Amino acid sequence: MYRLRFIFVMVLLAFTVIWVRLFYWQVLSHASLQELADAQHFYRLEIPAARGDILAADGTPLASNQTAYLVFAEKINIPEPEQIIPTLAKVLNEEEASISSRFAENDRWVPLKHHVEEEVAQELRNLELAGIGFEREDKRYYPEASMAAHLLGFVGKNEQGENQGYFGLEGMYDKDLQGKNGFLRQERDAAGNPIIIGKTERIEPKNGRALVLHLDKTVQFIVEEELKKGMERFGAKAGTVVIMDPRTGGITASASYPSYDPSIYWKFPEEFRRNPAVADTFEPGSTFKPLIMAAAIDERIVTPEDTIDESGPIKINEYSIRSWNNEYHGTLTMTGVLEYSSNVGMVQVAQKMGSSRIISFLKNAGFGKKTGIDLQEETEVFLRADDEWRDIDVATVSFGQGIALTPIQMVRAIGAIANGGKLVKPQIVKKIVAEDGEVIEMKPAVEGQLYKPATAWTITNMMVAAVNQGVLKRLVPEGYRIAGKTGTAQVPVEGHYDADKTIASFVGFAPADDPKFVMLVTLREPETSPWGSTTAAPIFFSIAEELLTYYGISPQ
Amino acid sequence: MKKRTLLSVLISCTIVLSLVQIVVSHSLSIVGVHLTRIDGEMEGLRASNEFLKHQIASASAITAIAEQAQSNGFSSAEYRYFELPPVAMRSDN
Repeated sequence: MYRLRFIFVMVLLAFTVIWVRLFYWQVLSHASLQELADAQHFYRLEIPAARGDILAADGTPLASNQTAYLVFAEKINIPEPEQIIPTLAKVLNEEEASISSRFAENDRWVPLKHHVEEEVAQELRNLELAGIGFEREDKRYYPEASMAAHLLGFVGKNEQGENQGYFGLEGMYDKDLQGKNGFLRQERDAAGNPIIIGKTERIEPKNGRALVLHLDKTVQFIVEEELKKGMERFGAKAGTVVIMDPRTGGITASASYPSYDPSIYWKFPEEFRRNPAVADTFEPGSTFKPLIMAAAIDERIVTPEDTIDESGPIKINEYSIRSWNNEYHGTLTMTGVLEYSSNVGMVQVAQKMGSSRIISFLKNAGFGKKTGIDLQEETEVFLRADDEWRDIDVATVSFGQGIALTPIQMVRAIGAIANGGKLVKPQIVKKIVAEDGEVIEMKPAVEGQLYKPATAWTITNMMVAAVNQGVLKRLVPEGYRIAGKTGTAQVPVEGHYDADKTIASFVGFAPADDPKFVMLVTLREPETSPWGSTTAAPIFFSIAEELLTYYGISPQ
Repeated sequence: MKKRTLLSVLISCTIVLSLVQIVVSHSLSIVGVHLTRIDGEMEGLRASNEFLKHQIASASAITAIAEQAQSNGFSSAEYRYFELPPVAMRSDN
């Protein structure tokens, strides 16, 4: 009887152990075992979303994607690496020592070269080298190389090793361009083929949206060529040209030197990456005079025919303000003040306006805050507080000294003269196009009426008169009316102005009667001459002449 | 007699259904192979499309065209010609 009971207990115990074990495997370990089984049955793949293209106004690509590969070696399948290292080094255009050092690493899987282009990968595939594999690793491609690099930005890796846009449009519109990766989970057989009646989950990738810009490639090319030539000719350290359509605020071209190639951005100094047109500030000098003069005319404080006395320097408290060339012309009309670029005349205009009107105008013109241009690195330049404006500050700001602004702020403010007084928001992107055909139009944004249309027309004529006088006259293409103003600002260094270092500039628009473009040219520290009239102005007119032909605008 | 007929029908059905199962299973496994091949072809075509797109973009880049034009002897225009709009002319006839 005891034996029977003993056997019964033992059987019960054995079954209990089995039940406990089964409970452990089937209930407690269910999730981890399911995961292990899935790992054998299911094939998982993240389907990368293609980064959106950046297209010029004509639809041709400025930034696109290029198929590239990571070439790797599975060392376990390469018994004698020494035999293939010379071939690999030759095809991959690498040093043999560099490839050998990769093979010397302890890992079974070693990367040999990143971003290898399709042709090179194909050449390697044809060699059928055992143990050499390829993993798709697309790279950003800029067909025009360094053209418009400051506008485009570049794509690098973030801390997680993922692609991310930095600077310019790549940085500003990174989320739109990136898209969303897809996912595939598919049941496969032992040979790795999909099982047609098995489970499949597929989420299609959402490719990045394309950006269509206002930028005209031909205009950009002309601008870059002329700026490069001009900088060499005048020995400038840096230069910037910005061109905007005054009616829409669309930036048709923007170039700055020194520049960089976004596809090999790491080979250039970091300071080359930010766009000087929106990230650097400068004292505008005399190019600022038409803005203050327009404000004074708009407020009916002066008329173009009103006169001032320019018989010598003007005293503001303990300061004495002279003319730029120490020449004085006696009685000058307001048009004459712009023609002769009279600092003394502008100080008198500022005195008539008073500090409150000047400060109010500066704020209305958008100085002291960002323009809102769609570029990542736009700098916010602050105006001094209302109660910090001294008499000398109000006086000097009238001729563009003691105020810092970005080139894009200057272009926008002059654009308001060109378009009948409207302050438009500068924009790089014209529209965003999604893969499914959805189009988001970036409509021109008018942010206010800075001047009355009549004032804008009056100041346009005064700027045309300023261009048709003195050394500039010979630069103006025959038969065209072009409005403009030169500027030469000294560079502030440690609390004082350096007499030898200047920023030469020229701002203007053409044709004056129906402007197609507003353009600003700035040159930092030109060596041949410090003056805007003999350095920045020739570049402006060379570009303007080409653009007038390109736009098919015939001389009058 | 009836039983034998029923038995033979059952055996025949079993054989036929087994064959059908083999054929269907075979064709299903072949579909997987086809799918893999089609996926491979799609990937190949995609890569080829991207490569051609890249080639077109490189060849039509304005900088490449400018270089080509310069090497072919073209240079910037020295003189500019403008086509004026047609003007109404008086006829003497």
